[in-house]
Amino acid sequence: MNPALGLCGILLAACVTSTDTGSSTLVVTGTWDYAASQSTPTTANITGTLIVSSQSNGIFQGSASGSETEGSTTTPVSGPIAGQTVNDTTVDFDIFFNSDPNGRRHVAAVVRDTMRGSWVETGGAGTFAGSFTAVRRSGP
Amino acid sequence: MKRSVVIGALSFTLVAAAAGATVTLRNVIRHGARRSVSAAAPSAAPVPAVIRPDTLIQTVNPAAPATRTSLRRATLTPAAAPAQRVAPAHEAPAALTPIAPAAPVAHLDLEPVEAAAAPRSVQVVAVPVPAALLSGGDVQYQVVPEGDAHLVGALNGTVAVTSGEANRPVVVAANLSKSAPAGVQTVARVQFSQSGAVRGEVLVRLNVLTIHSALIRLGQTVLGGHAGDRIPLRYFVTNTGNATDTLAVRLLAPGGWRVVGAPTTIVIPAGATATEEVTLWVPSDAGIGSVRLGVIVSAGGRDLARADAGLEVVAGAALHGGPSLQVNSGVASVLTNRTSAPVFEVDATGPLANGLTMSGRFIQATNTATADPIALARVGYYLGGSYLSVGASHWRATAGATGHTFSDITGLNAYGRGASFSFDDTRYTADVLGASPSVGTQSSSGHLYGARIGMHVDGGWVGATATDLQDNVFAPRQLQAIGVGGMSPAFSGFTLSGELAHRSYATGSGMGWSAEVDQRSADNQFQLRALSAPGGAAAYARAKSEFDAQAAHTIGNLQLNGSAFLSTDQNQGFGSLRSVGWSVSPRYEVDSHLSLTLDAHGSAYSVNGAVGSFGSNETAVRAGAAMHVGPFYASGGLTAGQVSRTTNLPNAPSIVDAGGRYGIEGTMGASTDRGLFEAGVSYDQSAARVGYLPHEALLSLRADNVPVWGNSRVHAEVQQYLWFGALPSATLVRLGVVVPLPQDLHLTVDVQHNPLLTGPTGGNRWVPVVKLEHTLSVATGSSHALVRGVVYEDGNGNGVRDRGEAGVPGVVVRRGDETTVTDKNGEFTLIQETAERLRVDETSLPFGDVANPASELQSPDQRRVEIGIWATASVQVRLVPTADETGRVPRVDFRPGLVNAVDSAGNVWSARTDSTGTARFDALPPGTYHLDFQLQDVREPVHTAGPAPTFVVKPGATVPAIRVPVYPRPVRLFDPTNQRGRGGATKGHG
Repeated sequence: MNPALGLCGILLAACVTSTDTGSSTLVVTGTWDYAASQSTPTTANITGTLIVSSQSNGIFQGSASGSETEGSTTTPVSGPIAGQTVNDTTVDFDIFFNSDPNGRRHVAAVVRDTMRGSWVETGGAGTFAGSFTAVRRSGP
Repeated sequence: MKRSVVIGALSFTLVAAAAGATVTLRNVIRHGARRSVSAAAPSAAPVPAVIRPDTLIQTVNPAAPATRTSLRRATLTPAAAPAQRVAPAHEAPAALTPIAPAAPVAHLDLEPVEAAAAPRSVQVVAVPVPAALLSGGDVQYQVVPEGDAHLVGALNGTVAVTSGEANRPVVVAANLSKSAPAGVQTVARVQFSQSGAVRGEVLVRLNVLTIHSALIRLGQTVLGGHAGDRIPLRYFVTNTGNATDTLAVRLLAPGGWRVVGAPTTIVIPAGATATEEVTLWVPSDAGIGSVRLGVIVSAGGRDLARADAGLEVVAGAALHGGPSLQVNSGVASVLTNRTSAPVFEVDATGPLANGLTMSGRFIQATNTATADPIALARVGYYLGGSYLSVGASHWRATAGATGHTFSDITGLNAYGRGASFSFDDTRYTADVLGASPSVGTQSSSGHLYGARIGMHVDGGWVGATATDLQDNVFAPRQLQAIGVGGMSPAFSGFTLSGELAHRSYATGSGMGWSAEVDQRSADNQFQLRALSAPGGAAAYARAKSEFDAQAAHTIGNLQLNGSAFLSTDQNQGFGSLRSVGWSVSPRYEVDSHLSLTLDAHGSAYSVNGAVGSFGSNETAVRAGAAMHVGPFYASGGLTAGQVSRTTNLPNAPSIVDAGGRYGIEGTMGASTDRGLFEAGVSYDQSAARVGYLPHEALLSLRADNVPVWGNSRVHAEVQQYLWFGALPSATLVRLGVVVPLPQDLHLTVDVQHNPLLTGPTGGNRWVPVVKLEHTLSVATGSSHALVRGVVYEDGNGNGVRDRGEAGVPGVVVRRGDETTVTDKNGEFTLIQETAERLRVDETSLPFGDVANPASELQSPDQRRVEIGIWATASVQVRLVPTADETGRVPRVDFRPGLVNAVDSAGNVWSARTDSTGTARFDALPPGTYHLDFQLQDVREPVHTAGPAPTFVVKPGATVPAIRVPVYPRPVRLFDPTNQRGRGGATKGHG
């Protein structure tokens, strides 16, 4: 194999396996009113608050809290947030409710102070998915 | 008479390679040897031995023999005899043919041979011919059993020293039973003689290892009681080891339950059984249900035996002597400025009159807008969902918050406010729902209607379902379905079920189907499910299509678990979703304390959402261990995995993030009657952007149900989260106490500090919640009992309660769905109306007792029941090999044989015969029995003769052992050369 081709291949692979989020101008810090509905495999919802406390080079972190209603039971949920901006209009973040190491992945489009998108969480109990919206209550 | 003997000193150590045993032969100077063998002639006095200079073996100091490890055999050289008189002390056993001394000869006093041995083994010991005899011609030997030793192999013979067999040892093989006592015991004497004169004997001693072993049996395996009761549990511990042992006994009971009599230690001789009792108090606030108890016997920190029992806590007769309705009413408030408006709740559970039971809950916030469901949940108050449910043994009706799951393809999880009704008897089933959509405090437009009827058919079930469901509480769902389905009777452990339904949903319609195969046995579980449900989760199904398989198989201490799933779904919430997963999880029980687990799993999903498509693929392996010793437990594990994530947005290159994930975690704690205490730590490290926090550490401490200040109970918990990045760490603290107050009041105070929470009750503040609750027990059964009865000791077995026949407390009595427990007088009441017959749970009776079978023959209309308890008897049947007319006595191993005891009603009890022909029936109830025998599998053909033996078991009486003669069976020998058919067979005794 030609070493030069191999080097090119490695460089190409490096390009496609890294997420360059540093050039995004999207800023998501602030407090967001969060509402997520689960539509599979059963229905449930979570309402609460997202607080994105820091953002640097597209990487942001914060915390989430709220209450989850399923069946006739309402339980509190809370945990940290970690994510990144994918481009100027898209975010991809996880909420680790009740510090479950499995994150609930959210991918959403952000238009001004509203984000809408889908979420998925997979783990030992199966795969759960639904949609969510978040509206910024206060910003940076 | 014992005389002093002085011979000399010599020791041998050798490896008896041929016999595979290490043996020691030592000649010592002894005084007053117990079994010294000697002759009287002073002229033939034995000579002391000296060790040649070239030997590797040390000279032995008889008072303190040194440890010898040499493999070479020493030789003896006669030395000058000291002036020592040796007196005759021959003690040949009477059972043996004595080897008469032909002439006075010198007798050797030989040191015993000792070897280590284990019970339940054949121990082979090689005894060398004494060196002093090697030059005197051939040596005869006689092996004489000692004590209860069972020797196998030749017991006498000749070592032809003159033919070069000088190095051939005498082999003694002792068969040790399982109960061979620990310690040194003499199993044989080897007498050596030469030229017709006994020259000496060697004692063969075995040092039997100590075996710790025990059995435990419970007086009852099911106990019954009420909240607040004091319940005794009798148990029997048998030391099945081979030495007196100190056995520790402990009881596993729910945390916080008071126990007297355990843990304890018992000193029990080998083979003996101790009868002990432990008492536990059911807490006054214990809920109704079944509790698992365990009694464990251990020695030296190792568990030897365990027995389990179930305790059924039944509805409270303890307070007033009859069934009662438990009514809890309370008020709770979150003590912050914004949310202090109180919330009221009343709940009730228990029996009503005439066989009805009820459960219900009503909760109302005085200001719904400011109520904090998160904080209220900490004291068990959940807003919304008030309901009332009334039922009997075959039906239940509910109004208020209700819901139903019809089936996978005709509607899952339909919740709302309205009414539902369920019916199930031995023939028909029915479920009906009519409600408006609602979950918690949220509701929406729509409706929830459905009905399902079914019929039990020969162990299977068939049914039909019609539903019309529509709601928009959390996500829009709609379904109109009509379907038929069924489940097969179980055959060979398999059950098949399936359903076919037409489904109409918001965007179309189609046929749905589901199929399932279940197989369950003691060591295997297998389930395979597949379904197609057009419309998917948006039409009240779990997914549009789904396949999953699960299997578990147990091989000894190893349990293998595996699963796989594949599902697809589509709705407007996320577009389309496809997910797959698998896991393989073997678990190995090293012993009763320790288990090891390995869990390999993988999962992947891909979503086409409104923004774009994204997916994930993860594979991980976790190795873990869990252990418990007494009240202490610990577990830990290591995880390593690989994760990749993809993101595909319109008009943008695909993004792939991949990396590893590693974690370690451990937990340790103790569960005692003073509460549960636990500490945990974990650390996870992951690559960036793959769905995990880059670093997360958790330290946690927890104490739960810790008694303080009388009957008050405290719980406390601290969690420290560390993320090591821009995300600040968080410390969560929660403290709570439940204080019983006079007048059946309970005060609960719960305080939490949770910086992860936001809103009025979160952040960096302490949020207290206070609840005051009153518990009321309303007598409902005493004046409405449908059946009253008593369980009593029927001492004379006449089936009638006579004067002096006491009631039996703590017996579990069941009828239909209702369970009750006899009180201290043996009395009980049942309140539910049912067509089913009453029965006593015999596992709750004292060990060895059974209920009078007549007590199971009551009619459903009977209002007063008296159930006699009979003591059973142990009956031993002994098959005795007996000579037939030819005088031949069969020598037979009876082990494959079976003895049946058949009572006058035709009930059959069976017992296996052991090798000697003994069969034991441990617990035969009173009655008249006859015996029959199944001996066709016994290797030696035998038969019984004459009429079937009969015997009678009377209550409380002992039945003497029954001896049954068995004879050799005539054998027909077939002559293949004789072609005249059966007539050509010869007949005779084999």
